Amino acid sequence: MAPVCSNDRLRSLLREVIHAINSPIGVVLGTAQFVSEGIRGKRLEELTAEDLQEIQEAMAVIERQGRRCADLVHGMRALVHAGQLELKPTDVQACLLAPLEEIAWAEAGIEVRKDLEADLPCIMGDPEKLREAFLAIERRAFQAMSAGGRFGLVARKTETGIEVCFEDNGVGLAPEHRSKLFSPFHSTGPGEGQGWALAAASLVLDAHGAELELQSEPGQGTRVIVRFPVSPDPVPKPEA
Amino acid sequence: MKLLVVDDDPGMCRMLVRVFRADGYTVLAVGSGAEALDLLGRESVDLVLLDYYLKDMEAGEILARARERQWDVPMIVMSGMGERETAEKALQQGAVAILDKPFDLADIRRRVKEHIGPGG
Repeated sequence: MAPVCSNDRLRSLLREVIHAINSPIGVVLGTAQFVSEGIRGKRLEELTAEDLQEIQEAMAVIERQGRRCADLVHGMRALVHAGQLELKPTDVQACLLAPLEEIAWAEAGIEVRKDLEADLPCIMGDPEKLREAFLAIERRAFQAMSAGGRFGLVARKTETGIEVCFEDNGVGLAPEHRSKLFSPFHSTGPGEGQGWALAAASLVLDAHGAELELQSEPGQGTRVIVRFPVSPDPVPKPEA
Repeated sequence: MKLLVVDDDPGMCRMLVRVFRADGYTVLAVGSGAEALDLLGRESVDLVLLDYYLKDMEAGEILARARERQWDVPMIVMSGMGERETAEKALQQGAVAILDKPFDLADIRRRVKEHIGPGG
């Protein structure tokens, strides 16, 4: 299995995990301490209506924050699996087109333009993981164009491999969001879990040896470019 | 005594508001640096509990603006990272204390009391 995380990347990820988990844990701890102080030493029959209300509210807070922690764990688990690839001959074009069909572009007033070279070489990859990764990137573009727009998908052969470009003319990203777009704890738009999906996409592409480049300016749209290396030995077409 | 809680986590804001109101303080809460600066510009508060990493700016920027505008309000910075450099930076920038998240209620109460005394 290919390594998917450098030490720097791991450190940065751990910092984000700490940051994300600190608040819910702090709220649970603070709430539990606060309510415990109020009822310490009281017997059950001595609890007032106010005490009971405090306890009920505290339980609701603890449950909500516990769920946040559980969601973090689910997301992190998804990241753990993101880099574990089952390699087989993979048709990149098919992986790009399938997720496109899962998004309701036309209903949202978005025009889709596709320009994919017909004879793109196949790669050794994990088609299922690649489809999920491309879906996350395409969905992000969709979410960036809430007022409609244009989405372009271009794939072409280069001297060293395959270059894929996902381009939208949506809201674009400010520099502070640009650097965090593929962070698991970052979301610039509506939709829970988008941060995790994009973080997983980045790990999947990394595990395929692909380079990821992001070009974006506020109000100018966003371009995500993925460059896959292609082995000099031809990879056969996958079985249908 | 009036406290301002600045944290982009609504759960954390609600918890701190609840605790310090019960202790007799008047407590306001906002979720961003911009809102904090706006509020501090038009309202007098006795102490600020400030999360270090806000979505729109870091605590250092708020501390610097407060210094520029000569707002003489003590700020306790709450940091989730527990890094020495962050703590030192915040203290250099004018924070009166640093608290590592997750913190114990006794610690944050003690810090608040040290700087502005008990609630009403």
